Amino acid sequence: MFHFESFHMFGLLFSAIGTAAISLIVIKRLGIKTIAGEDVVVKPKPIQLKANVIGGVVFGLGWSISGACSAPVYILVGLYWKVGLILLLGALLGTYFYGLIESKLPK
Amino acid sequence: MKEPLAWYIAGPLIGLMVPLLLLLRGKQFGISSSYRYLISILPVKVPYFKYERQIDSHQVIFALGLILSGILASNFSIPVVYKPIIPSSGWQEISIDIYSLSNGLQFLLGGILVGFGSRYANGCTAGHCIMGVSQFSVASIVSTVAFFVGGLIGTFFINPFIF
Repeated sequence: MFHFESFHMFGLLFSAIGTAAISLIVIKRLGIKTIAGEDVVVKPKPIQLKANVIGGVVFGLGWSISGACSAPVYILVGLYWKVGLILLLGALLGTYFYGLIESKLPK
Repeated sequence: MKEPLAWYIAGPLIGLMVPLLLLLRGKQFGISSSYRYLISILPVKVPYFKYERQIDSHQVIFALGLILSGILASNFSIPVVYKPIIPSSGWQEISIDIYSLSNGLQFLLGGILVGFGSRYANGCTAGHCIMGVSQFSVASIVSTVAFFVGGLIGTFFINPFIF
């Protein structure tokens, strides 16, 4: 993906974002409620510049080294379970390390 | 099926998960919090994992669905081939099945960075790139750019030396 030699992943990402964006606008304009009859509440995540940038770069490194982001880890557990479980173990370890030191990290 | 699904079908299908989840569960699309949920089940004495894990339960269900999708895909013989480009191959694409245990250390390291980075950035490609960017959220746009910066660094400065 990061060699930009095929459009596939970018087409996938952009069309997913586009579809999601259009659906959010439609839901808002038409006032569509949830199946339980409640208002749909959509909130952007809080801006945490240092966390977004540092965490984002770390994530990107992991993404390119492993070839998987968070959801594909689970898919690979189903597709190639030996590798999937290693990825899952890594993701859980990384999450745990974060939890250990999160209060000391710049946000 | 021998080829990945066309992007203009798979992409919108993924995007439709956003309204589906909102309308059926009132929840925003995301997956990286599932890792926090899973660890919070274990007896860990870390404040970060003592939280109202029910708010992320939908992500664990999503995760189970993802695992199931992988199992179904493998039964329909969809080959997943990673085609890295490395300097020693003259920058030509080489086709290797790298999903083998001999690359286990790389996958472990990559996984750790993904787990750590997604929690630190407060989201991954699902929560930030798709859910966040579709709302034009600043935090998510910044995170998405950071993801790609990290991805490019890894691709050009790390992967050539470990694959």
